[in-house]
Amino acid sequence: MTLHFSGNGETSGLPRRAGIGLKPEHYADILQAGPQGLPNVGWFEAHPENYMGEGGPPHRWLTAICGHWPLSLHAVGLSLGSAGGVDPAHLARLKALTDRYQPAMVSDHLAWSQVDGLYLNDLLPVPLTAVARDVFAANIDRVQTVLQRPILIENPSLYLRWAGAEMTETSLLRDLVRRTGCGLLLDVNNVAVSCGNLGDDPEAYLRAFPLDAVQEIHLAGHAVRQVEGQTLRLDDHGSPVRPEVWALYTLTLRLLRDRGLPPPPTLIEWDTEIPTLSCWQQEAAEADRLLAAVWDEERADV
Amino acid sequence: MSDAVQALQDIQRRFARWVLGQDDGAGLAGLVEGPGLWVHRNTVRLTLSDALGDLYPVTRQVVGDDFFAQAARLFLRDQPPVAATLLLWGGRFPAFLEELPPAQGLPYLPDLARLEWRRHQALHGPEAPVLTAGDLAALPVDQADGLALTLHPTAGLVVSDWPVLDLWQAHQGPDDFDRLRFSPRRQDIVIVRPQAQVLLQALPPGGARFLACLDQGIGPAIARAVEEEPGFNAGALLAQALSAGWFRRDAAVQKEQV
Repeated sequence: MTLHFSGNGETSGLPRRAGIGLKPEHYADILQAGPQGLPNVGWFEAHPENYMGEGGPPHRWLTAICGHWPLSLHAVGLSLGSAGGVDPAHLARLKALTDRYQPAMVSDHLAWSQVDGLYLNDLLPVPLTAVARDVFAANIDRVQTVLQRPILIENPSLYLRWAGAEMTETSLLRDLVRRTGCGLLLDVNNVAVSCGNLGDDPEAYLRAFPLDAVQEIHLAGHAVRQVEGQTLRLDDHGSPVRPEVWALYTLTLRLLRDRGLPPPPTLIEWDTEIPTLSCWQQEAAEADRLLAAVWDEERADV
Repeated sequence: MSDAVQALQDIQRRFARWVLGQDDGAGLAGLVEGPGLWVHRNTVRLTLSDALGDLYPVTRQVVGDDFFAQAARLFLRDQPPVAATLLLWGGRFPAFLEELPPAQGLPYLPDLARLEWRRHQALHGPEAPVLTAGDLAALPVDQADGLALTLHPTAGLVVSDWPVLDLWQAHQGPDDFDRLRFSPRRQDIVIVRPQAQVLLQALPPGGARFLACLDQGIGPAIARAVEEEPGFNAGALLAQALSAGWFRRDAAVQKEQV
C-alpha cells in the first residue's frame, strides 16, 4: 500500500546543508550562540526517545532551540523489524512529540530492538527475507498512518549476516520505498562499517542503493578494532568522520548529482566522546564544502 | 500471525535471550555469520549499564564502578527495559538492591537509590503551576483548617532510617565523605521540581507524613504528623513549602466545598 500524505502532515523538509546532533551538554552554548554564532549548523537532529518524559528541562531546551533551527527527529526505538509489530505506547509517545515540535523530518532504522515487550537498546539486524520485509513494510505503514507523514528508513551498521538471505539489503530497501512511500536515510558511515565487517564492496553498495529515495545523509566516526584476529569496524559515533567515509560521501554526492538530484541534507552524528561545539561545527563545515563543491563541478563540466 | 512471522519472532526471542545474558546463544547456531553476536551482546550490556549508572550516579560512586557494573548486569538480565525510552527504565533497581546479597552490608543503599529515582522522576515529571503564599492569603482565615493541598505532580517523598540526603549531598562535590561517621538517623525528604531545577530538601520528623496527608486537609494532616512526632510544627513547614513551590496551584480547593 502506498499512502498519500497531505494537509498538516506535509513536511517542509530539512535545509539542503549540514546539520549536527543535539546533545544536552551543548544546550546552553547553542542558545547563547544563536544561528549567527553557528554559521555551519543548518539544523539539529535529536533522538525523540530522550524527550519522552512528560516535562522537564529537555522539553524546555528543545522548545527554545526549535524556535531558531529546523529539527529532525531520529528515532532509535520504533523497532520496525519486530515480528510482533510496533509498540502502540511508544508510537503514541512519538506522535505526541511530532505534534508538539512539528519536526522537518522523522526517521528510524532498518532494524529491530523489541520482542515480547522487552526493549534491547540496540539496533539489531533484520533478516533479508520476504517475510521480514513484509513485516517491516506493514510496521512502516502503521507508523506513517498514525504520524500522518512519511518517515525515512536508515541502512544499518552490521556485524553479522543472517543465513538464508533471499535478497540484498538495497533491494529490500527499494521494496520498502515502493510499497510504503517511505523515504531513505543513507548513512554513509554505516556503509563503510557494514561492508568492512561483512567483506562487501562499499562502492558497489552505493551504486545499487535506491538513491532517488534518499532525503537525508548521515556521516559519523567509527572505531577500528582487532577482535580475535579479525578487524572489526565498530559504529560508536565517537570520533571525526574517517577519510574513507569522506571519500564515499563524495562519491555518493556525485551519484546523486549525476541523476539530477539536489544536494542532500547531511548530518554529522556524534553519540559518544561528545566533542566541543566548535569541533563538531568544523565537521559540518567540511560537509557543506563538499555539498557545494560537487554541485559546482557540474556547472564547471557544462 | 502466520507461521512464517511466528518463526521470525522465535528467532528474535532467541536473539534477545542471548544479548540479555539469559542463555548461551546455542539457539542461534547456524543462523548467523560474522563476528556480530558478541558485539550486540556487549553493546546491550554496556549501554544499559551506563544508562543505569547515569540514573544512579551517587549509588554508583558509593559502591564503586565494578560492583555497580555487576549489579547492573544482574538487574538487566532479570528486569530488562520494557519501553523503548530509557527514561522509563530502572525504577525497580532500589528494590532489587534490597534483595541483592552482596549489597546487604550497605543498609542505606536502597533508600539512597530511591532518592535518586525520585530525583529522576521529578526531573522528567509533568509541568504544573505552583501555589503561592499569596494564593492562600486570598482565602478567608476561618477556612484554613479544611483547606486541602496537593503536592506538585513532580513531588516525591522518601522516608529513610538513614540520612540519605546528607549522603547524596556529600557526593555532589569532591569525594571527602567520611563513611565511618555515617550512622542511622531517620530522615524525611521531599524531592520536587516546581520550575527548571529539582529541589531536594530534608524535612523535620513527621514532615513527610504531613505533606502526604495534606490532600485530606491541613487540620487532618497536622493530626497525622503529630501522631508521629508530638512536637511537629506545621506552620514553619507550610511556610517553607509555599515559598519553595511544593504544591500545585489549581488543586487548592476548599475541602468542604467539594
